[in-house]
Amino acid sequence: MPVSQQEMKLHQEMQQEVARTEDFLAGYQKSKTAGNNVEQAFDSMYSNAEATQQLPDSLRMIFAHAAFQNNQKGRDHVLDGLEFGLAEYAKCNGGDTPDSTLVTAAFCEAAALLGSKEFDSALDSLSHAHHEQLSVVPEMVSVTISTRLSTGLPFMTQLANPRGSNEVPFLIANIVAGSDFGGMLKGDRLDGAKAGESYVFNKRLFAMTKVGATNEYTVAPTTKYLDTVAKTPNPAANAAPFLGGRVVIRVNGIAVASDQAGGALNSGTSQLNGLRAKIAGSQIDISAGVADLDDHEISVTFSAALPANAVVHAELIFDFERKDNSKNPILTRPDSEIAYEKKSIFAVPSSAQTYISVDAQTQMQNELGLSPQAAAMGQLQSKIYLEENYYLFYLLALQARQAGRVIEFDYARGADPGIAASYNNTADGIAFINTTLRAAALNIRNHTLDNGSTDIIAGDHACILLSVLAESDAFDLVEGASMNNGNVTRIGKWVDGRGLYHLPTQAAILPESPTTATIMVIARGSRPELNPCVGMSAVPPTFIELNNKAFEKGVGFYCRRAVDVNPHQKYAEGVWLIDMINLPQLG
Amino acid sequence: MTKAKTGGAASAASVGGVAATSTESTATKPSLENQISAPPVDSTASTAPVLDLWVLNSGVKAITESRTRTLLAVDRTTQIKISSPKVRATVIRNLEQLNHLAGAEYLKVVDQPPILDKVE
Repeated sequence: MPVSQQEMKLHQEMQQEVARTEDFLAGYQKSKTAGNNVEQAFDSMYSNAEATQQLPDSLRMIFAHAAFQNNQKGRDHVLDGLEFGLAEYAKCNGGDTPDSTLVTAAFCEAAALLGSKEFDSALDSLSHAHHEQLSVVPEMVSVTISTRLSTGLPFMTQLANPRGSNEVPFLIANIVAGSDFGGMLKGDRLDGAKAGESYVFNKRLFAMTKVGATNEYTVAPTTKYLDTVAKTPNPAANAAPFLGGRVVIRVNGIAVASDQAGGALNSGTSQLNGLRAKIAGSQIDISAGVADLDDHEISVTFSAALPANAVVHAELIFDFERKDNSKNPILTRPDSEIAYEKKSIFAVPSSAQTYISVDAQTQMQNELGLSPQAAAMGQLQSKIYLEENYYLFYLLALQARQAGRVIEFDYARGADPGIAASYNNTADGIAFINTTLRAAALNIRNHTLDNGSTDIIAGDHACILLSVLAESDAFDLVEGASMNNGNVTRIGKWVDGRGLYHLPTQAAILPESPTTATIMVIARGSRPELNPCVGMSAVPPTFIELNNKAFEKGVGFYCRRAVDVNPHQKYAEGVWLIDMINLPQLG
Repeated sequence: MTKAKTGGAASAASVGGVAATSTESTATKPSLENQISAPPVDSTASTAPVLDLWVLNSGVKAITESRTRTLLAVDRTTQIKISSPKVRATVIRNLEQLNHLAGAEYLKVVDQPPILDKVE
């Protein structure tokens, strides 16, 4: 899909905002490490108006709001929200720091909140007393930032949405081959499956063909390969001029003849001479050999028949300086292009409401010290995030299952159940899955062409068994983390950084039985936009007081968010399932 | 007599055709010498219960049955050679577990096809 100038501009805005946030975080953390507290760290960085211009736009928009003018406490409250969010993210994700894209998204959500009509109307319902503006606004901003961070998962990207748009174009830039040349075709990713194919490196091998029953071998090199493994030239491509004095004939990879003795040439013919090389104890001699620099052909005749299955190559260097009769270069140099792939994600509105009678409300507040609306709304907010996660995991698991991206793991390793396998204990048995996990990770890297990491998602039974890996040195349980039915929680971590996340079995996404379980290996992209899931907020979760019913008070919940599997399908497919059978019976 | 008939074919095979002309007692109690000197056994002549399984893989990828290491190619009926009732039970159990996790019976035990696609 073509990328419009406007989309490109928006994409660049997003990138700039992420870069500014990254700078902000780096300086902020550095200042804190130097011993400053949260407020001092901020003040030391942004003590004057000029420095403030370096803040991320979203953060500047927040602090420019009326509620933060001459309100030091309010600003500190926002920073506390950031601190709390970072700490909660670390707690949920094995001590990791969130990617700067997620922090940017959190700031953008808070800025969007202050700019949203829904939030304005919520503020209108307040008494408009000055003190409420000063306390409620910073609190809402603080909560928005901390909630976005604390609910973040490393394999689910939250895109920054500085404009609060309902549609965010989502561009991925790839560097691709600009022409058919060597072993690559126009559009092939230079860092993809063909990354190592012949393209720029100018020493090239071409397979030579035996001429009938003789000992002569010939080749006419062209600019493209027909078979990149066999190194056969594509006869339909243009003939490729090559340098004289640099041609080497190789048999089974060993140099046996060359024209190097004749010196550099770029026209006429160049004679090949034997190098007295030995293969399997026998010297390989040639009786004739010539490189024709005008007709772009090489031929060599061996003194004796070569061993059976001998592979003969001509090694040469393309001559990009050579010109035709019209003084135009014969060869065009290989080139690269930046190709943008564009997809969009769209925000959808979600809303809910809670009403409670005035009697019940006062009773709860008086007797339990609890605001029923706040309690209900807190639950709704957690619920929508969990629903989003389940929605995404469902789609990812379905896609992987239906596409056959599944590996089988037999805990019994082929033994009959009941027969003691060759394990001393459960930890030894389950440790065998490490090879399967690595196989899945390799499959993901080969499939997505991205060299990121992976995480493991598992249900109840599988998590309990995988937790036993903590008896080895390669895996640690996250201190204080516990499996529960209301969260996707990181409960363990391999030493190489991969996380083990618990996805409740009752979500019915990863099936389990007493002796079976399916687990999911999910890509963690090397860049956030390469993750299997993406999302963004046009309007972050917002609460609105509802007073339209007599004798009842209500709270409305509204948000407009995009949550989707990566629309760039290749990255959505960074998921492999592992079907585990013959597991030790639990329950 | 009934006992001799039941084991007849197997016994005959095991003594290399001698049983065809031997008496009932000879066939049911072959000597060690006869067994050693017997020609290669033709298993197709056996009347022992067939333990082998034929499995149709209607999934989207080939998988290797872990007990017997038999590759089950996609959209093919593959014979899994089984050596004992216990192994047979394990294989069936493995297939059931994989079907359960996939939420569909994509590995199905079927009748022996008249022409095998593939024999492992």
